[in-house]
Amino acid sequence: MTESGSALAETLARDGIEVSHEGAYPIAAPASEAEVVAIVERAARDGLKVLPIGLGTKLDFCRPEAAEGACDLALSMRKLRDVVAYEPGDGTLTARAGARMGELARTVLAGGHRLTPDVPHPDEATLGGVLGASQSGPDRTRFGPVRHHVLGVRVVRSDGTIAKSGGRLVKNVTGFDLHRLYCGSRGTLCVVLEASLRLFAEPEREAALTATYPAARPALEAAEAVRALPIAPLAVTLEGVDEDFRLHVFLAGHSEQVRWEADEVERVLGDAERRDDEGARCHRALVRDLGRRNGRWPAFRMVCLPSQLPSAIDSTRDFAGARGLQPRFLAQPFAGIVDVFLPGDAATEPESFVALASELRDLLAPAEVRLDPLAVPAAVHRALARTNDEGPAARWMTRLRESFDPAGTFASPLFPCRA
Amino acid sequence: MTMDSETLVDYARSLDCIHCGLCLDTCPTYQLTGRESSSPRGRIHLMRAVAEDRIEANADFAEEMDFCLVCRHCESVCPAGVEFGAMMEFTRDALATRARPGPLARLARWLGFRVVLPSRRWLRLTVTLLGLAQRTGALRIAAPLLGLRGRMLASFPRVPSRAERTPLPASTPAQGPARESAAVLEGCVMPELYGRVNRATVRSLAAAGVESRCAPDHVCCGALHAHNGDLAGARTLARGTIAAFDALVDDSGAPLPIVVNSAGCGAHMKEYGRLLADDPEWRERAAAFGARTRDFAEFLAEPERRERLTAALREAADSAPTRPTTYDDPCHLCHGQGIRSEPRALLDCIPGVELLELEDAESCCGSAGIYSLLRPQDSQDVLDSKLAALRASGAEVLVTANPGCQLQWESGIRRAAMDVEVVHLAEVVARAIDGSGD
Amino acid sequence: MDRRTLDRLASIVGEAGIVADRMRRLAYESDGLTLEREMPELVLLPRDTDETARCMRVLHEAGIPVVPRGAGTGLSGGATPVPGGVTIGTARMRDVLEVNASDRYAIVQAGVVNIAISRACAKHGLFYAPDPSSQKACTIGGNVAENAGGPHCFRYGSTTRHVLGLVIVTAEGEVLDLSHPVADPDGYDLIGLFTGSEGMFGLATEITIQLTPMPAATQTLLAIFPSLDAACESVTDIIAARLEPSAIEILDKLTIQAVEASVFAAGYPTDAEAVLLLDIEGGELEVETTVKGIEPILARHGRLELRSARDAEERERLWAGRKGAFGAMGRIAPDLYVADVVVPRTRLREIVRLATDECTKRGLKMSNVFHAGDGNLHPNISYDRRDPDEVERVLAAGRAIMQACVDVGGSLTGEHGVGLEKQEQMKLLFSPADLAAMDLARVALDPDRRMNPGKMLPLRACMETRTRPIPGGMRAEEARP
Repeated sequence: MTESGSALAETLARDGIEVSHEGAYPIAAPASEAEVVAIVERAARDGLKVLPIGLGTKLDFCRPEAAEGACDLALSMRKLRDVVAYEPGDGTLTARAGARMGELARTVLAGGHRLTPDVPHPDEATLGGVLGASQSGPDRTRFGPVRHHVLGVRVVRSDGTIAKSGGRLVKNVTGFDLHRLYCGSRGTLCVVLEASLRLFAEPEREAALTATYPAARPALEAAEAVRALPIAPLAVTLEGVDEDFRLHVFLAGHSEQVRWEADEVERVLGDAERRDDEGARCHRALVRDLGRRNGRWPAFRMVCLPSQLPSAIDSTRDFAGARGLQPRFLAQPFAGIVDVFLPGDAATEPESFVALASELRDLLAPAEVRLDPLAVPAAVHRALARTNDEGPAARWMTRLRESFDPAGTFASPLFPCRA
Repeated sequence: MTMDSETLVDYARSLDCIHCGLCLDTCPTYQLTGRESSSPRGRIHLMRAVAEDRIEANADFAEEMDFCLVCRHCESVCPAGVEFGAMMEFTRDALATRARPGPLARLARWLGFRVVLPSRRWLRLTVTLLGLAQRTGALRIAAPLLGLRGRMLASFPRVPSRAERTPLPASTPAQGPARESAAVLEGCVMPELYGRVNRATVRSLAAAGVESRCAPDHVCCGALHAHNGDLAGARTLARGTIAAFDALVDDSGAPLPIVVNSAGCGAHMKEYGRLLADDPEWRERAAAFGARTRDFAEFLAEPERRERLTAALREAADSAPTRPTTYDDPCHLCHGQGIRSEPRALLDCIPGVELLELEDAESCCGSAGIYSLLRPQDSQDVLDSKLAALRASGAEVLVTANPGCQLQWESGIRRAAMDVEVVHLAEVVARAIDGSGD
Repeated sequence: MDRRTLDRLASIVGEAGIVADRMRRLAYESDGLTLEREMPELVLLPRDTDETARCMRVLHEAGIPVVPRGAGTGLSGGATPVPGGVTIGTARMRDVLEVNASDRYAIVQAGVVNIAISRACAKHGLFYAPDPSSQKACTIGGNVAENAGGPHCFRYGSTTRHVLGLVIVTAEGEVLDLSHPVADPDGYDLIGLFTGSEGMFGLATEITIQLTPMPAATQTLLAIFPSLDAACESVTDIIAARLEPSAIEILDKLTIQAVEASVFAAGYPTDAEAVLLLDIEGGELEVETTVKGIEPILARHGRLELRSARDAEERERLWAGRKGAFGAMGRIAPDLYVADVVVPRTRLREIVRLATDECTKRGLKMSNVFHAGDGNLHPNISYDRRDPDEVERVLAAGRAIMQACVDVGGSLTGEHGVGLEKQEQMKLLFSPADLAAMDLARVALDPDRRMNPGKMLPLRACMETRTRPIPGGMRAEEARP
């Protein structure tokens, strides 16, 4: 905890803002927009760094402690959690950043709508946190990533002013899409106060099919066969543990259509376990939350073209196997995303783990497979954070960051660039 | 608006354009250059600017107007119904009147439009000389001296023998009982270069139970004149054409429908009413003439005739499979007359024809009347993408319905050393009847 | 422009890539918004990223403003030249560079026409989903700049949902290669930020776009209504019932009559007050169920007749009519003002009626053809720009309609962009702080504000937040009335 951070925390507490001291830095939890503005302004005045968070469940993504002095105080939006507007007739939802995704999903379900993204552990995820991390759920297979459904946001900028972008309309091109820039900016540009999302119809019926394969390739071939069908699955997830690769296909929609689709998928998968409606819903939640099962193991995310998945998974297995590790995989094959978990004690010796991670990254790079740290020790995070700080893309990101936060009031956890 | 600008641009028509740009991608010259000023919308914009005295109609303006092929593809996609072809004819005529071309160009224009085209004798002499040059090899020797135009001349199809260059008889009886009669336009260049197409035309009509009659002294309809800035010449020839064909009547004294196997001529003749709209003496006759003008395919594809033709084809059928065939829409048939399905329907009637679709069949081949002579490089550039499409189609026979296109394709195919036969639709029909197909 | 700069540019793009004479430059003085006109200093037509970048470097050194232009079919003046500025057109960048059917993407040059992408990948059973009405002419580069929409964006979303990658030439002439298509961006979402930035962040020369599998089944319905109100109410109810067709369009009487008189005559009944055109796509059973859900709603609102397209040909004709509607208005008057407002879909009837009143009371001829499913209205006002009084009334009606939409929680533009046309109205929707945030993004990516200057952001707001010196050439431009 930095000295100045504690001092600020004390001041805030005196002003009646709730401050807790559980982790590496104090966490302030404002109860109003005015308090959010006050915190940002105060931090800016004192030259301190503020890290906007929700409940802090996604801090693994950015590891603020990886960069020294990156954060003096966390600003948790968890208390600002109400629904601002749910318009059932227009299919849109506006809520404050601290709203829990699970609660929002239940709210709109009452009006017959479905909230996307269907993120893991939705009751522990806030809207602001999901947007900050640009976290999509397995349902991106049908709906696309969360950034496609953010209709607008209101934010607090680093100078304490409140600014909006977009609106609450399902179609709107008025002004720059700053909400797209903020989505996934991990709190480095602004604090999100509230956001609007587009909603979808709650399906009449769901179905889930699960088939098991002895290796990644046949499982991915099956996924490919599903993709070739004239259907749009809600989610397709591949789960790989040891020699056991399970492909889960989730369907949702009109009753008759889902029944037909399930038959088709069953035909393609061969021997598959089939679940309907409530069973399918429960199974979907279970598979969605699988990542947690892998606990505190170090994890990476591989991002590549879908066609590169088989070789990405195989080479990762071979690479890890040669080092006595048995990686587990959780993939969304249609999106070209694989989360890799390394069970065991791979990370107990940080130095050798840094070497291992860098080697894996270099191994995958030629096939244009990107390796992002997901939950790794700070040292590994530091080693894997963007290395291409040179070049026009990094330049644009740096300039954006400097333009939106010239004084560096928001924490800079090695993102979007190392600098 | 000055007198000058008023006489240069058909301003009223230009106001129909709302600048939506849907025409852009259809335009061959826009595709070649990517220049807005070489697009239909751009040209209209420039015309309007001239009419509104915002710019002067300088050489650059004239060049953009000349660069246009007047294929009228833009008209086919224009939601506002802008009559681009008519606007272009107006402006070109005005530019030609105003411009002071060099004496040589003036002489060439005069010779071409006023001497050769309207005269059967001069046409014959010209084509004979060309044939002579081909046979003696003089053309091969002289071609390089003439640059690109020379190269084009060198790849010009062989002039047919004298025996083939005979006019049609005044009347060709129907095969079997005659159900009706029709007047057939022989055309100016057709009898000299494509007499076989004319013979195939009357042969096909006969098979469909139609007696063909010809206007003995008629030569030219004036389409080339209108497209190239000689509206006065075009009007004179239109009057002559109307007079010649009005003389062909049936037993009840009613004038015969006029069947045209050249898309460019047909499109023009159908618009005689507009051409002579300011001539009170001829206006009505011209409109009536236009109303009874029919393209060859349009005429034969009408249900009754098509039925009779199908019967004749079935009788003749040696259903030997033909070579893979494709059809290229002549601009003045599809865009000028809106005729697209009829030629395909006729081809469908012929047993054994396997019709392949040609990509962008509705885009211009670059012939565009005498454009290929006036702007050989541009014309070839336009044809190049068509040749690529032809190659990709895999067809061995290319069917068209316009002599200019036929000539252009034959030259291009020869230059590209491809092995594709170019035939007129009428030839395909006639061959199928006489079993002399492949 | 000085001789040396001109020569350098000419040596990069060659004779065929430069339009310098006054006559030809005049053809570039406006895009689809003919109200605004300005003569470009020069027009450049580079052939690829490299030529574009070299041109941009020269222009950067010379401090000359740049206006990107696709096919010039935009309706908000996004491609209107700026005084002393150079227009860079993409008309000679027309190559489809790659179609990857297994990973479902294509990489195309910016000047590729929207429909050409679908043509290029049709053989793989794929298509490019966003379908602006001008799709037969507009370019993908322009679509990206404006975040273009279209009827079927109701189901598939606007352009931004389909852009997977970009090659951007920056204002300084650097090449930013973000063309490799992956699920999530590495760092900030520059692609999402760039899409819809109206040419103010740079010039995209190559676009990686997502391809969508063709739907298994499509049904096209045409419902004929005795009133525009009833058609609007049907749409509101369809949305409230959470039915998900892929497109819901409304055409009113005047539009129907103009379309039926054109080459795109689709067989709409010319005596109908309004028609509703719907596409329902998806699995066969899904389509069937959705149609069954829609039919009673249409009946409840008193539809006179419901037609279903029998085959692909009829379907295409019905849609060609819709897509030719804008141009067909040329039959009514020489010019057309196309508004592009958006309202919550619960307010359709109210705002359509209000827009009609605003025009009627000003003696203007107005027609409606719009993306009802998205709440994206296009009140089209026919006029003659040679009549200055009428032009004034058109602009006043446009302003009144925009104000009314903002009042009910709507916005200024759903797919055409702000451009020059709605620039001043930005203040209705956004506070100075909102606009200042937008300007922060702009100065970050184009510190000299040389890319498409004077567009989108209202001028005073820009002046207020200006943080850096502006090169001399810019002052006159920014002071533009």
